[in-house]
Amino acid sequence: MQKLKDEVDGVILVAGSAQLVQGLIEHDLVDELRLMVFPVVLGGGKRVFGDTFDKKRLKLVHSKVVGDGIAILTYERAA
Amino acid sequence: MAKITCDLSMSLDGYVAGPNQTLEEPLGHGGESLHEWAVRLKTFRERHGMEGGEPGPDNDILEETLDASGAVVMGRRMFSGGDGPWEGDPNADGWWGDEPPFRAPVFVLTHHAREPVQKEGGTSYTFVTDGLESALDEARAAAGRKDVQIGGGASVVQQALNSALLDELNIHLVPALLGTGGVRLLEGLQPTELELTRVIESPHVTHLRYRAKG
Repeated sequence: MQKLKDEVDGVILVAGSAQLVQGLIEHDLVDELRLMVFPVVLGGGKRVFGDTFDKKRLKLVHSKVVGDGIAILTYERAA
Repeated sequence: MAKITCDLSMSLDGYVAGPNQTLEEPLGHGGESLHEWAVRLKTFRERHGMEGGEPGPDNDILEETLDASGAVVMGRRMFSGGDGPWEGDPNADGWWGDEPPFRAPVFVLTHHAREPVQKEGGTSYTFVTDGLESALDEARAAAGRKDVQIGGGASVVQQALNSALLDELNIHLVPALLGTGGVRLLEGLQPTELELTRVIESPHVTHLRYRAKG
């Protein structure tokens, strides 16, 4: 992924895959994280965030509510 | 009628406390960072007997929450960190000092009966041995027209959600990933639909208010 970031101009969008995203976060390769939080408790299932990485600070750069109470939260890596 | 509410600071990956909770680190390793946004505020400092602090939107929200709470319900571990008989609890007087920040009647869930304790500044501790619903009934009666705040910890909030006892859940979402294990809020829950009723964004924390549909 680091090689891809060096070679490609513009935005590389990872649209899903919890496992891939966890690896990218762990290695600080995600510059911007866009979350859509639905007002539903599922009670089980696959999680976005794993338990493997150290504490990381982020910065909220944008938030918006759309549709039926869906919060769109955009975070960047904090310096 | 009084609402049953709950306010919790939560990391983006869903933790309300870090791993390895001890008497020295009651919120677990890294858990303190979830409350940094509040500790710097004027109202928080005043409630904890400290000077100074920042005003602003975060402070307004904290003040609104504290003012609305007429009584508090909390678990034994949030009170003292201990379990078992009180005689063997090294922190039996609780974390919260002689003038606790609650300034309201507090109902502590425990399996071990104990006489009530009166503290300074309007806080009293009543120890409830027959479960959450009973504690909420007592708290409702004590709160009058004000709200009843479920203080925590996570397991008490989970029980309240699963039993449809909670009216309002306020999540103060902290822009950090704890990532190393700890106590998750949204775990062991029945599938539930909530309604997002308010979002207030600030540089340090995002305040999300959900109405539980019960």
